[in-house]
Amino acid sequence: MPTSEFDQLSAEIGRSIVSRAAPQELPLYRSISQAYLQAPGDIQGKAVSKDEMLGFGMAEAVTYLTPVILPVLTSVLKFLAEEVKTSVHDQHLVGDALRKLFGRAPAGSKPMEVVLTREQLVQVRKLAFEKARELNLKDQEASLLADSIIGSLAVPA
Amino acid sequence: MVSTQVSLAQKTRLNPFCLPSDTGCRFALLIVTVLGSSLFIYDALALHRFDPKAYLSCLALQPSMAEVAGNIGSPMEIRDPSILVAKSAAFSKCVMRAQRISAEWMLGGVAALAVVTLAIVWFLPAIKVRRGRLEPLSAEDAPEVVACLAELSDEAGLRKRPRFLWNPLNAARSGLAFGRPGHPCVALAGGLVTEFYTDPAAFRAVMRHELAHVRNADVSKTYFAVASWYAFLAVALAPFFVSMDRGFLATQIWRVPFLALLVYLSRSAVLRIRETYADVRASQWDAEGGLARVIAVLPQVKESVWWKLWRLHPTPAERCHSLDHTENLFETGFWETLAAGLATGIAFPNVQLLLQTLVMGSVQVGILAASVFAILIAGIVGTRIWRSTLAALVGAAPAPKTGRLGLALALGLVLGLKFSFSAAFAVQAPVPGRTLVTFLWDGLLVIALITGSALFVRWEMISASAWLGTTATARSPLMMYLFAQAVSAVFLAVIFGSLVVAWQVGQTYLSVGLPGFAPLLLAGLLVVLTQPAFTFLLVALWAFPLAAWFWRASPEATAPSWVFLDQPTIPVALPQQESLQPKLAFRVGLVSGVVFSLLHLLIRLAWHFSLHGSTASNNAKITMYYSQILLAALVQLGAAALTAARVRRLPLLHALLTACTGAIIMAGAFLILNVTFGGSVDVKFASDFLQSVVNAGALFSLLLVPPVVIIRRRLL
Repeated sequence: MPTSEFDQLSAEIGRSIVSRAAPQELPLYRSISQAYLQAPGDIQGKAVSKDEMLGFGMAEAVTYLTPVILPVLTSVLKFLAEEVKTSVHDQHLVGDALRKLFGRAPAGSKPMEVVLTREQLVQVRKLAFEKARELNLKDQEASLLADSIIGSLAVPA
Repeated sequence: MVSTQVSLAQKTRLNPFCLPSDTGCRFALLIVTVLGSSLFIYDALALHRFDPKAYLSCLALQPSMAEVAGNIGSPMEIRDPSILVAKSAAFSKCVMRAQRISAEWMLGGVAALAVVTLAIVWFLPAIKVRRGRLEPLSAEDAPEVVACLAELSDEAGLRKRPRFLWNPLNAARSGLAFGRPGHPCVALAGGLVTEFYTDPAAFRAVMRHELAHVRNADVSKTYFAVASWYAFLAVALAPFFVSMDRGFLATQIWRVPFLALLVYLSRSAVLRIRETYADVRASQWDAEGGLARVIAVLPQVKESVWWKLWRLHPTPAERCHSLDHTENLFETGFWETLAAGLATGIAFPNVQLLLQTLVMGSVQVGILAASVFAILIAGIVGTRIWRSTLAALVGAAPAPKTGRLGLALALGLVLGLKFSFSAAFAVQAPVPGRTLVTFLWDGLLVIALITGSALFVRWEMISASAWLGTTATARSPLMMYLFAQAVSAVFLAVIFGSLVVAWQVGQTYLSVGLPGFAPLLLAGLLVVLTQPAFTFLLVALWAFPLAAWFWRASPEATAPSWVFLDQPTIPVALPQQESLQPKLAFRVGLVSGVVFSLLHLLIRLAWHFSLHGSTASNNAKITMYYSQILLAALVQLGAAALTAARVRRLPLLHALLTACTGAIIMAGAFLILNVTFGGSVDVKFASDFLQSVVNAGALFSLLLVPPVVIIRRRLL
């Protein structure tokens, strides 16, 4: 599965997570995800550039989840793609499998059994948390984001 | 000055935008500092290509010390100086030719500095857009935000809406006004745009602040300030370090960090003050109080004064305080005034150096250079004094302290001259035994500089007080302010120019071993007495402030609307000031003129009918001439003291008006009687006599009336 497809998928899945974790960011979601898809490496965390020193003076960043969710989801999706490869015989169906995991199986897609183990979910959470921390989210915020991602995965009862 | 102290500050905030802001003053200071320091650097670089042989050949042309000493006779003896003058002119021309390379380097260097600064200003916005990955914020991205920004731009009264850009992936909660001159842009971080949905009042507060920068027209100043610092580093300091020989660097290296530090701190001062003005401007539009709330939650920092100097923003506490107490923006502090003097003192010798290579004659150069800096000081310090005086007039702040500010200005000038790069080269071979007299001369000039600075500050304050009182019905005080600054620039140019010329002449006179400190003072006094510039100075001293009487406001006048930022619900009465009394001063002056005329008539009659009248020698005639000037000065002094004792407001200026009025009558009577008793009068004789009488009377009054004023105040 090419990288751009992961980014695309992150943008799709991200909307539902943002609507739960940071609904105030939804009006800007389309613009932000587009900007992210155009330049995924441009995410700026809470680091303050020198230019902002000439700005209003509020050097601090807000808890701004959308730009962080997207790269975190991309990492998570890459990890999950590797994990589901073994249970999906046709490699072209990895994308569908990932969508299914997030409860977004495309209409008319072939039925398939994709289930994550508890250990895999723990790994997903850890990965999401660490990536979010890497992007300068505070522990609490990173934890909230990781939990939101886990909550979005279709966990079997 | 103000008889009734009404604390209007408690009622409403003063409008800091009614006169030019301190951002402009600090910006001008920065430019002066950069320019002055750069000029020296390029002159130092030019010295590498300087041909000493050319200069040595010039030395052969200058008049010898023996020739100069031989041409000086007694005060009563006139000798033809044409040979000396011709030799001096030939020497000056030769030196100008030899120093042409310095002029080329200085002008070329400053041009390079200007080009680099402009290039940075031009390209910086594009770099910011690229580095900040900014893209236009369109209605497709966030229609509500775009609509809100349009509304805020209209609210700010901007003729042209800025271009709004954003970086959706930047989580910072900041905005930034930037752009090329005439093309403002405002950048929004994604975090700030999100805040529109979570805390719209905070979003609007930040945007109002950024739009206030555009409205205050400080965006270009900011980026010029930033660019000038980078250009100074790249085009002036770097070549200096690369090119200068180690011997020079070893002895003069300490000047470089000092000047670089001064330039850097001046830049930071510009960036810091503009934030306060933007906050105050934004607060006018922020009825919902979002601004104060947003500033209050900014991270609080406790810093020493030293560290505050480096910051690009005032502390949140200072910003919050300024929102409610705009009278702070009207203060004229000791250190700001000292900095103005310092920057001017540093730049002055370097500009003088440049002019020396372009214009002939040290006197002309001195006056020209002094005029340039008079405009700067009048613009920077004068503006601040006008602001402080306005605050004092409406009872919102204490009046500026004249002596303190005069001292700060003079101290800054003296320190600036010492710290200037030029001082590094100002090494003259001392003449044995002359050190003490040149030191005394320097000391005397420093005292004169302090007195002149204090006089200038006091005069600015008086003028501001008198003229601001006349603007009660005006829509803005700006025209009056501009006119006053033009007058004060000329006023200061005369003070500063005279001091520079006097210092140069004295230094040259004493350092080459010409006789006596006392003859120099006496000659200086005689020159002063017949100087038209000094007459102008003395007349301007009283004429400009007292002329405000013709446009005086009625006693019932209320404070004009431009004084306040927020319009008071009821008209605010202006604190009552004592009225000016030029009529009284004029009348006393007329009487003194008549008294002198009668006395002079008696003396003339005695002179005419005595033996002297028909056979008087030249010496006796000269004695008669000067004795009448002395008599006129004494009568003027008596009349001036009488006026000072009767007038409550500005007694010294009224006293000078009395003296001047009397002097004109006295000069007229003297000349008429001179013709009546068989003498002759030509234009030069008449103007010399008039100037001498005006100058002598005013000088006496300036020195002796202040004690009368002090005694009268104590008695009352």
